[in-house]
Amino acid sequence: MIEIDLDLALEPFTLQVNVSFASQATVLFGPSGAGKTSLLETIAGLRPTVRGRISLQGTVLFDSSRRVFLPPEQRRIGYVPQEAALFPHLSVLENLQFGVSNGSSPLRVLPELIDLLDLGSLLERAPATLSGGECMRVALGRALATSPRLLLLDEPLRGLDVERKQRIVPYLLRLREAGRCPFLYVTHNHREAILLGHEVVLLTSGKIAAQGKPADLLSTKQYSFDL
Amino acid sequence: MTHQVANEIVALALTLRIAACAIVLILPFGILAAYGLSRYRGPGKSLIETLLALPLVLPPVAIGLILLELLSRSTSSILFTWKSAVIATAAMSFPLLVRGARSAFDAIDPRLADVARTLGRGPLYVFWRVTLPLAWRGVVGGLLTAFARALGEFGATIVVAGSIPGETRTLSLAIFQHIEAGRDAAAMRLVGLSLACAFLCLWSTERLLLRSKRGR
Repeated sequence: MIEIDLDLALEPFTLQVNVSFASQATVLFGPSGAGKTSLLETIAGLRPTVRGRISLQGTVLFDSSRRVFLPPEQRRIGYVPQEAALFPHLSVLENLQFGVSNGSSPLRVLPELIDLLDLGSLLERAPATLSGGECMRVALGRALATSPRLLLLDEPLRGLDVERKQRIVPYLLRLREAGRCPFLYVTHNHREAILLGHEVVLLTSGKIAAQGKPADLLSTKQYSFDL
Repeated sequence: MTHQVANEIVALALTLRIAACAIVLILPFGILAAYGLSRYRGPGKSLIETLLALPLVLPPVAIGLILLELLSRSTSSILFTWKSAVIATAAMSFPLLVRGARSAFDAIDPRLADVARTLGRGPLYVFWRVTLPLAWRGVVGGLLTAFARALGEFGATIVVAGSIPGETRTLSLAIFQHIEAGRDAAAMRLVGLSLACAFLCLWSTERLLLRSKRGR
């Protein structure tokens, strides 16, 4: 369960968000420029925020009235930004291990993840030699290796061609069914939202416009941005 | 003649030593300043940048005079010792280091550091493991340019350190001395030495930056 109540000053508007969701897979849906990425960055603690409150499973991550601000490294929120942003100077394995400290339990998670995401054959490779889809799988693995409490995915399929998209989607579904950790998935793509979301939060021009089951919410043509 | 050669070797060794000390002195501050400037988005950014770039365009003698005022106020006087030459050289080379290192930091995708933080790593760890390794070529490039500048330092050094043989008389000061005394051939020999040193530094910088462009 994540609860968010924020005023976020963006150019050219202020994002006002008051929302909570508890699904395993929540899709944050809205047109480009609606402030989706900014909201993800704020949840991850990467963006200074003036007013509001964010809590995750009972832990307060940010509360302006009580002057609480947990730095990103203490939030245990995994973040997969657009185009994966792998560390270019590290191998795939080193990328996966980046957040895994020696001696802590997550070390046991890694083989499982390598299996789940089919990364076994890529471990020695450099990020520059990977395809867009492979990069995204590594970024997913890297984020999951730290056993986060929430995973933030920022348009993970953007920029991939149809064939690559189709290859990545099963991994995302596997991730969802594995119930490893809940995710918040940003997209402006209708089909992805319906396919992957248990729940959809609709963000338009700085406000939450609606929230509900993807089939109910997105079947009305009113909210299609990409078709 | 052999006496002269010995003097020239002394001047060269002194020049290298002073330049090296100056570079070691400014390295941590230069990296910090470059990284700070690259990350800072608040007010006064252009003012800070202008101030940091000033030594590049001010007459070195003017910097020397400012340093002379500052150093003469401190209790233990280091004026007219090799240490003051190091300080003058450091002040003149600093902006070049910052410029080189800064463009390297600027070229790094800021999301890399962001992601690293979300992976549970603190800012220092992220700097060591992500930011610096990705910027090292640019930092070393800035360092070599600054070193080349340090080798040629003249104006600020002569004001605060004078031209004492074996203590503060670096290559450029020795060249000046030779010209003053009409020893053109000796001056030219030192010019050749300076040229070789400067060429080596700048050439390695170019090679390094070229490779970092290809590496991306």
